[in-house]
Amino acid sequence: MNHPRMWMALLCLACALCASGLAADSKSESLHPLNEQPPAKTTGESELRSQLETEYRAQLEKRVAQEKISMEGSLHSLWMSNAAVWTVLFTFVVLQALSARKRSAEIERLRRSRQGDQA
Amino acid sequence: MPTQPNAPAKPSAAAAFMALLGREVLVEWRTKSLISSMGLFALLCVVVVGLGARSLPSDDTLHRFVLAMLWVCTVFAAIVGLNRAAVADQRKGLIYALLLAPHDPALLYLTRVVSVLAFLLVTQSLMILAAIPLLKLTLFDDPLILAVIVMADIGVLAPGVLLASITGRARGGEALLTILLMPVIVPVFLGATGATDALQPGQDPAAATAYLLLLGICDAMFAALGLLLFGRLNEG
Amino acid sequence: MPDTPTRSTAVWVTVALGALGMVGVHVTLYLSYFYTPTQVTPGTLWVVTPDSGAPISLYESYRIFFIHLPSAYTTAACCGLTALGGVMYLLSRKPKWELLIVSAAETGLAVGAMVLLTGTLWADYAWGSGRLGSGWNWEARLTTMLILWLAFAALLVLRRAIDQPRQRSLATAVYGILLGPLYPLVSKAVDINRTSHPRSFSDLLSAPEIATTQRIASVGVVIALLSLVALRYTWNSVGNNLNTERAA
Repeated sequence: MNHPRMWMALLCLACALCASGLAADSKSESLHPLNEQPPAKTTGESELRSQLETEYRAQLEKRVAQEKISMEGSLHSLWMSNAAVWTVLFTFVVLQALSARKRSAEIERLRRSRQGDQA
Repeated sequence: MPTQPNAPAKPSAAAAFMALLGREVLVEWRTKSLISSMGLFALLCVVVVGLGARSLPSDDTLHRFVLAMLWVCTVFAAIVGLNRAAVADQRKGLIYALLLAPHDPALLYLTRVVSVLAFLLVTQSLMILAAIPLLKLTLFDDPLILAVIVMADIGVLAPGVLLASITGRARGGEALLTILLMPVIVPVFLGATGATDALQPGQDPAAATAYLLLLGICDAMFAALGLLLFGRLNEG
Repeated sequence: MPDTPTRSTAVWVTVALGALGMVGVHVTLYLSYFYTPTQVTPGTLWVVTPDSGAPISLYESYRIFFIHLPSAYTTAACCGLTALGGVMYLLSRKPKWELLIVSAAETGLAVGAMVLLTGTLWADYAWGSGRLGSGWNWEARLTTMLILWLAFAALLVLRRAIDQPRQRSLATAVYGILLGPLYPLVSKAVDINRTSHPRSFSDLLSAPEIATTQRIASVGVVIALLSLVALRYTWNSVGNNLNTERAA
């Protein structure tokens, strides 16, 4: 666990994860424009009005639902990338602490052997 | 420690302070090293500021900008002076000789602050005299500005003398003093520029009170820290 | 530097803080993405009101707050720890206090950078034009925070410039004490001038979900970031021991 390259690799991984947000394909998650088609011609104006309104409402509801899904999707991916970065960081902290313990035991061993030599 | 019968009596703190201050002034009188380096530096700053601002319209904004620039010049002139003094102290271990004085090292600190303050005030007078015709400076509308100048100078020099005694011994000490001192004196700088600005004609002089308070707090805090820590820093 | 045995307590404190912090961060992140309200529902446009200027709409950007604020708290803690370490070192001359100053300064440098970055990004989005740096306006709190960050760096530069260990320790302690007053300045900076940094986030925190998440974040994330102080402390003391052993 003491290999410096491994720490570098972990840090690089954290950096790469940080940067992964930049590469995220937000286009695929975002909404496409609606296919606007002119409504079929009808005779009565009030009839047309109410028909248009119903259509508009339906479209709007659908649109809001899509918007919500899109929003939650991007929040989800943001959360995933953030959580990954922090997990790597704190795994790094805990592993580093444990490796410090190992290192200090090693130093202690050297000290004892040196004092043994002197005695 | 029992006093030796033949040893001269320990001078009072006031007498020691006057003696140490006299030494600083005498050295400066003979060498003129501090005032010449600080003064020339400050005058050069005035010229450079004038050069940089030559194409700006001469209005209220320019005037306020020039005042802030004069504070920048003052801070750097003080750093030049502190560096010269610290280098002189370290040469031939003079500081260790001074520390042998039978008084608290805080006295030495106080002397240094007072002497550099005096030299800095002389430098500032030169700078202001030069700036009046060159930068069309009008400063003395409110006598309170004198208090601002003295308080700000103390605020810069109190941590400056302390830090200069650290950097005097370090590698690359002269650049290091700038690096160390600038962050610490930011509140003083804020207070000085703010109060100067508020005391200009056309500004609200009541706004200066808060800045003066900030300067006062900084002065008291830095002076207390300096008096307490200078001895600790130079022991052993 | 004199001998400082690496106590395994330092290691276990680091591990414990790191593990607790990991939990804290994950809870905070989860809450900040899924518990706090999104902007889709009408009537939840969160704003903050700066001291001067119009209220700023935050949209989704307020979620960075749950990292920004705890990092600022941690930077304050680091500044306090350098001052505390300085005072305790001068009083007791125990090398552990010097280790504390150095570790706190190193962590302050890292976490302070986080505060500045998250703050700048947020400001760029919220009241700038969106380009990097457009929210930076030399306002008092931003500037004093940058100065504090530079001061942490200056402390570490100072240590590199002094070779004699005793002088280095004393200089570190004295500069650590001089750093102390900078944080109160940062926190009071919003009162010095008319400012664009909000004085309080009461508009934002009036939503109960946001207030709860903020409370959890300011414990969890602070613990997480303080584990970095513990980690640097452990490693600095290992480094000291190694140097002593090499010299012997």
